[in-house]
Amino acid sequence: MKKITSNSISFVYGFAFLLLFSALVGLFIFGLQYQNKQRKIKLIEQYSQEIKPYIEKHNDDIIKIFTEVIPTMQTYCNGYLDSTPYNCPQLQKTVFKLFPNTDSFSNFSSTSFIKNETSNNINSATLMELSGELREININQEMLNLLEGKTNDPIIGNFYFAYYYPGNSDNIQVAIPIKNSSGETIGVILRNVIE
Amino acid sequence: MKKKLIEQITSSIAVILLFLMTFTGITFFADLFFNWDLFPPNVETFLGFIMISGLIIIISSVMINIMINISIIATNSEKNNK
Repeated sequence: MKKITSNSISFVYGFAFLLLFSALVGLFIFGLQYQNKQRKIKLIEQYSQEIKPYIEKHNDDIIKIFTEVIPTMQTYCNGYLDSTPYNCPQLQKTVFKLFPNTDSFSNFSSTSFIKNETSNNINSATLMELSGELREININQEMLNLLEGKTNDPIIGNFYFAYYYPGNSDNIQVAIPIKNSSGETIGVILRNVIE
Repeated sequence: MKKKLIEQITSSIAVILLFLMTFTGITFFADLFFNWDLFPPNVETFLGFIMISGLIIIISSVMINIMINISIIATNSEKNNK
């Protein structure tokens, strides 16, 4: 019979500890993954429900922003696709009129609009900030699916702040799809999650 | 306070915190890899502060432990030489 030495006991204990530790870490990571999912669901619910009455009230005007204001700005206003300062005060006033701050929701000023309408790149879209400033942004597949109407539920993620504001790379946004009267997705309202 | 007692306390603190830090370190990398957003930014800042504090306590404990052990070795060798 083989003699049990203190070395073999140490090895068995070490191995058992490693197994136990791995199991604990696995369980912990699984729990955190669940927590991450739950938090995303909660934030999407909170931010999309909060803006819902506003969208219902200003639905026609919001549709106008996507169908009239963004294309017009792209055509006539400076500041798009180059570094010149934004210069389109008349259309800026139109944005404020169509998206008024009178019955606003929390963090109103960080709202922006994304439309799947860019010059050349399929992985980019046009983003208009509330000030009327336009930018071409890179989008991921999730956002593209939302803009193309392949998915209809609001999504959460870091869609553009990492690109423009490196200091705020941890910021996340909730994207809420906007549909026209025939049920087609015409764009996305983006709400910055500020906590 | 006796040197031996301090040495025992600091080594216990270091071992316990190192165990927890291993756990926290793995979680930290999991957070990076899976791009989690677990808590609001202010809570994450607070947890980061706790993690850094833990690291400082570990370093301090290990340093104290080394110093006391050197002192114990010196005392013991002095006794043996007499």
